[in-house]
Amino acid sequence: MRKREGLRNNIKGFVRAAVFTVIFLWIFCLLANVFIPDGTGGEDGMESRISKAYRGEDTDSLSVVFVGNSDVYRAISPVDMYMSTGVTSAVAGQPGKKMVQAVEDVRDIFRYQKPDVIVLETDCMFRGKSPEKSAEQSSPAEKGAVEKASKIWKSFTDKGRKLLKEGDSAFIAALNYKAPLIRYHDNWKNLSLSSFTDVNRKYRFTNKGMVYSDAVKPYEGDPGYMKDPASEPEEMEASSVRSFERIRKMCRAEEVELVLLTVPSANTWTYARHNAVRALADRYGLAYYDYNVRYPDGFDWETCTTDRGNHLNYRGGAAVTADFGERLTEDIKVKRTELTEDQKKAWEEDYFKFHESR
Amino acid sequence: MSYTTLTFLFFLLATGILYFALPKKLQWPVLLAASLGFFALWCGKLIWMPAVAAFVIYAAALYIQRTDRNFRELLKGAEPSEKKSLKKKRDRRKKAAAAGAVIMLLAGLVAAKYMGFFGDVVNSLAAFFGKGHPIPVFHILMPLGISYYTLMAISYVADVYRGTVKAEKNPFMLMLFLCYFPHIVEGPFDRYEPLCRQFREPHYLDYEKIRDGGIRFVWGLFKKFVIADRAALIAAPVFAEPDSFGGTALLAGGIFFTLQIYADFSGCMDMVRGVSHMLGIEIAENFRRPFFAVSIEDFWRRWHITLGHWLRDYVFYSVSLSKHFRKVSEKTAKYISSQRVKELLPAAYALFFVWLCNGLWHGAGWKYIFYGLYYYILMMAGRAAAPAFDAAAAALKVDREGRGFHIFRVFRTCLIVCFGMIIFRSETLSKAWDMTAGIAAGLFSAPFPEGTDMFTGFGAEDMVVLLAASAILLTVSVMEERGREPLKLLTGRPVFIRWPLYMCLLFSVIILGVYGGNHTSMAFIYAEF
Repeated sequence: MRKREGLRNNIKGFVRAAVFTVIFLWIFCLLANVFIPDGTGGEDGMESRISKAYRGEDTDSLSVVFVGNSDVYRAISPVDMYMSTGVTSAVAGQPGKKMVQAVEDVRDIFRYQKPDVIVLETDCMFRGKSPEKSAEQSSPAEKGAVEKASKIWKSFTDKGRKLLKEGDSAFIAALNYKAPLIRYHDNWKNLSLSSFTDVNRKYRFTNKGMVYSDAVKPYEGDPGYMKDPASEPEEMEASSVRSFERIRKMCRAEEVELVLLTVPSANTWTYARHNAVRALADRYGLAYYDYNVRYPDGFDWETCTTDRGNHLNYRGGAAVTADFGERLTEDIKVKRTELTEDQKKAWEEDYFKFHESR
Repeated sequence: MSYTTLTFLFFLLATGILYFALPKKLQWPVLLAASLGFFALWCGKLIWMPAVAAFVIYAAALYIQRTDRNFRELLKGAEPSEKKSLKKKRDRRKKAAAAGAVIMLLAGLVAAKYMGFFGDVVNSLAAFFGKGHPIPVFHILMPLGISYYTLMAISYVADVYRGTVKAEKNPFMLMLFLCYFPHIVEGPFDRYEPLCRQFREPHYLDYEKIRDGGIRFVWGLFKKFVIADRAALIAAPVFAEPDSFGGTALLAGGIFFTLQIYADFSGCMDMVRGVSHMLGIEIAENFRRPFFAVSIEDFWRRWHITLGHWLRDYVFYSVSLSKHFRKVSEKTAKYISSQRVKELLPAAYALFFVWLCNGLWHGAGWKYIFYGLYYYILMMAGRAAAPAFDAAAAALKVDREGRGFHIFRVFRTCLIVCFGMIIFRSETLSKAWDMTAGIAAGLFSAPFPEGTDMFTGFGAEDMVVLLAASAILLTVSVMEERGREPLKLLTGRPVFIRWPLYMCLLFSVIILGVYGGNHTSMAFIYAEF
């Protein structure tokens, strides 16, 4: 009888604790939004809000929005593009973005903006490394079951050791990605009324969704990674194809031009993938620019990559931005964005702030 | 893996699940595995050191107990004339075993912690006499908690020797006693019997214990992150460059460091008691509102209580009850005419060793020795002057039971402790002296040269937070001092009162805590000992 009562009390207690925890987490997320600093904070890709930078701009003030994964948020600098072409843009990039998420992004973009062009970076159409690259990089010895098992075990213990060593940093980075209250907790000293009332404040970024890096780690792999133009097109996952169709239809319904773009990425891109995208572009009459086939002026793999060929640094991004800006205005005929004087001033100020902070 | 990390919370959760889910007889082995894992994550291969200590005390205690048992049998059948010599033989063997174990344990502690200091002292003396540097000085890695588990190990052997506890037959239980993860970092100095008895008892999942332990844990985090680490933002620059500050700032640095060390240490104790309470194990209380003390003796009965008890039981009593001590006291008394001095001498002699050990335990350095002797001198001076103070109070008609006098005594004790903390925290004795002299000389001077920004990261808002948090701490302490139990009061409130208070506590740690980003993370102060 006493045991049953004790068990009942325990259950009641833990249910109450669970409810308390849910309320605590809800308040935590709410406060995270309040504590995010105005403007320039957090442009390092380590928070999911950076992918919604278009929300922080005035409604219907963007001519172009770039959608993709971390490749695109390293490769396009909207403030530089504005100063060189007068075309406003923002980047909706998120690490590891899947095409299904890109569909949601485009839908969300149309709630806040009416761009002339949506540029879809094509790396998110494919998952992981190409079968070609995986085959190159795995040795024959690893293909056996025992070798695979020992590789899995080594990967597990390496991850475990890393987790123990960096445990806190990893947990907090994961938490900060969605609700950065721990990251910005010190901002209690700077809170104002607008921190609580201005909902889109947290999406206002000087860099308009670009993630800046000036680190240089040269690509040391095969410079001829785009080997065989006649490669069989790589098969896309069915879900990627469906998602692409949805994006294309949404753009057509909104009378927005859809353009396909592949920024330089030596570690993940191949001709097989290029050909697959080319086929899609040709089928639907879409403009497609692949900077792995033709590098932009001033680009080289010695100085333009931040992590040995996967992502670009600012130098590489500036080269891509300059070239693609010309493509937008000369080939796609995107006009200079019509802005009010205040809006022009704001863009210019953001440009100078960005370059001062570099 | 510090107690203040998320990794520790996951570790605690995993340990708790196994602890309560597995059969009750596996509970203490789970604690042992968790403790060894905790130790290994902190110190890696140095885990052999507490293992060796556990083996030494295991062997010594069993030998002592077996010697007792064997001689009891022998004494039963012995002639009256033989009994005295048998007893002497028994005592010699027991003493040898106990002394051997204590020497080995202390040797490990000295090697890890004091070799550098003693070596430097010997070499300095040798150099003074022109003998060069005969002792090679090298520093070995200090494993986690060596100052804590060594003293706990010694207490176990001493208790077995004195016959107050039975020797433990399971060496792994002793290993757990020494390495129990809540007390390995900063104590408290638990005693073998009450702790290991609890390890053996079954513990059932109890929501109220989890809740109360959790609240206490978060309260400890509040003290550490909101108060201690914030006070350090003022104290650290003052102690780093005391020459740059005037008397007021130096005194403020001393006061803020005192606040820092109290909140840091007692905060850690709250956290570890909270953790242990969740597991159904009660560890010793180490603080009892020390800044409400009315004298130095009272302060040390409230501050680091378990160290005080350890020194009392294993240094003071050992010295004062020893034959050698009685002989020295009797011989010295012959040369002293003052009755008052004769009365004070035995305590003075024993207490000298207590305070010397207290100082040395805190660190290997002259300033730590001086720190211990600072309190010794003040205490003995207070005792010697007590009749004079009594006479003066009577003459001035001071109401010694009144509130005013009580407040005076509390304030006086706080000031004495604050100056003691200046010695404790200063890099060297001479810097401590300079600081004290600076306070005396320039108490009302400007805190620091105009235009200097010495307190990076500490603004007016931080001062408001620090004062408010200290006021909360004071309020809770006053409630406890008056016999009220704040935790029970809190958990007894209706949910619409207690839940917002829980939220305020949690969010004040998250939002107002000094951690991450611009701040250097601060380890627990007493973990360095």
